Amino acid sequence: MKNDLWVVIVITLGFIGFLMGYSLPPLVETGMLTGKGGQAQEVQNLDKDMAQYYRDLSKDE
Amino acid sequence: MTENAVNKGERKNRFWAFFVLGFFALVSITTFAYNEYYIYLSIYLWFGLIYGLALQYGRFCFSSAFRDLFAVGVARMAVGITIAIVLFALVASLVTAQGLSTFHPAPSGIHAVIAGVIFGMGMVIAGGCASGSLYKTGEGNMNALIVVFSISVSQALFVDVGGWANNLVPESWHHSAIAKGLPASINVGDGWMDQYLAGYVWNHPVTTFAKMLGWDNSSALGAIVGNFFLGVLVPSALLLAVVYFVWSRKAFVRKRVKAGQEKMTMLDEVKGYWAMLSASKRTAIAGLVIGVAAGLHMLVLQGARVKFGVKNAGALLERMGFDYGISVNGTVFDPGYWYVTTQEAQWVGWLLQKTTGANYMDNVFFGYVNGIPNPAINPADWMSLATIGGAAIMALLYGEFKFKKPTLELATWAIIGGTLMGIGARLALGCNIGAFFIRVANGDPSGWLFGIGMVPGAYIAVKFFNWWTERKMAKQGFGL
Repeated sequence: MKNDLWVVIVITLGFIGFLMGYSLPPLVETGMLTGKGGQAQEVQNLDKDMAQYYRDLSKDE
Repeated sequence: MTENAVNKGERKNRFWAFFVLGFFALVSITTFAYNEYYIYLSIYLWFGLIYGLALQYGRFCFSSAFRDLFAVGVARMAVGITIAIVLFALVASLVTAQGLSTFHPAPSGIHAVIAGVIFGMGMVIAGGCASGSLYKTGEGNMNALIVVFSISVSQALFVDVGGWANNLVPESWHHSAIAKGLPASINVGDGWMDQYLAGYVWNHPVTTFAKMLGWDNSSALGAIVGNFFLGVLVPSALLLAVVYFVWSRKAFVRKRVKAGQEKMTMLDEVKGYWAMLSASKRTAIAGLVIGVAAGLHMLVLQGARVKFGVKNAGALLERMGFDYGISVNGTVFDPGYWYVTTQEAQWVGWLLQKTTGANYMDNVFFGYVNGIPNPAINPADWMSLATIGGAAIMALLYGEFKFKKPTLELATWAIIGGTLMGIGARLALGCNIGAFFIRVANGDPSGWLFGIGMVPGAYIAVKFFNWWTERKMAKQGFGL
């Protein structure tokens, strides 16, 4: 019986492991689990060419 | 019984244990293959299975805890449950400190105490609490199944009771409920429970120990020091000290006196306290498993919510094409952690609406909050069924599974007790798990209020049963 219980535990933990592997990565990717999420990206200064390019986009043809 | 017959019985039990496990595995795999969203329901299923395994292993029953304590002075179960609460609280506080908790505190007020009294009486009369009845059903106890049915039916009827019961509603509740401005499909001005919820309970403060101390609930300070240490560990240690001095110490002192050591030093008291804690090893192991599982359950469900971009399973059910029985808010009952009674009310609500044609979606409980989805796709129902299945697996493997037919007397107590539990659970917005175990462990003071109510309720019921049994024995000629 003890061996049977271990088989049940292993199968159950196998499913739980799969569920954790399936559900937890989004928490890590979003930084919710690691506490590193939610930080605003640093504003980078545009170089002159790129700034001119964006200004030109708003010009009439 | 011959060795052959024993082996045959064991083989049969083993077959059925793995059959149940295989069934759940098959359900998980096939539904996932059919639609990815079913994994959300499978999360409930597998954690429910763990709860069932642990409940049966530890004979984890709140009714037994109170009955053993008040009737015969045995503290083992009460201590085991308290240990489980502390362990779950520790895991829950770590999850909360990460900002990943799915827990929502409930309104705190005197109603929680009153509900606790009613629930406490009910569970002793029924011979099992809400979670205990689930695991006992898994052991083949048909009396426990009657309790489960009784809790289910009484809740579904109680949340929809109107008509004459409206006369019992104070005017202030009525006005306050109307002022909430709920959607037109919810007939909030009609029905005792609707006006109780919207006009009374919702007006109470919703808080945690962390909030009361001015700390952010999801900060490390708030979750670990406020909710866990001050909200759970300190009161639990004090509670266990009371249990030790009132009940357990006597037996410890008796043992020492027998061994010729009459004087109790401070060190001896500590040894006695520790002996009480370690006496409930099996329940404590179950508590540890439940505690860790309940914490992980919250974490994994939160992950699934983030992955699918939803806050409630109602949105997933709609994406899967099931829109029947979803509340006016687009939600279904999806607590995000261990719960027992609400889903039991839901399947009866669903059945009644389907069979009688009556509208069960015009009340606050079903129509505004929890919905009545088909039980086959109700996440929390998957959890309850798996809890029964998990208990059955454990009972089968340990040779403890046995079909027990109820007697008329036991069935009567089961119905009365189950009804009281159903009413108590609705008044408190949860049972011994949802309103006590989960709330206490997450630093919600309303959990302790419910627990404070359960104590006198259970005490009254234990004393009543003592009187009833003595009276019965005297009638049968066993009296002195």
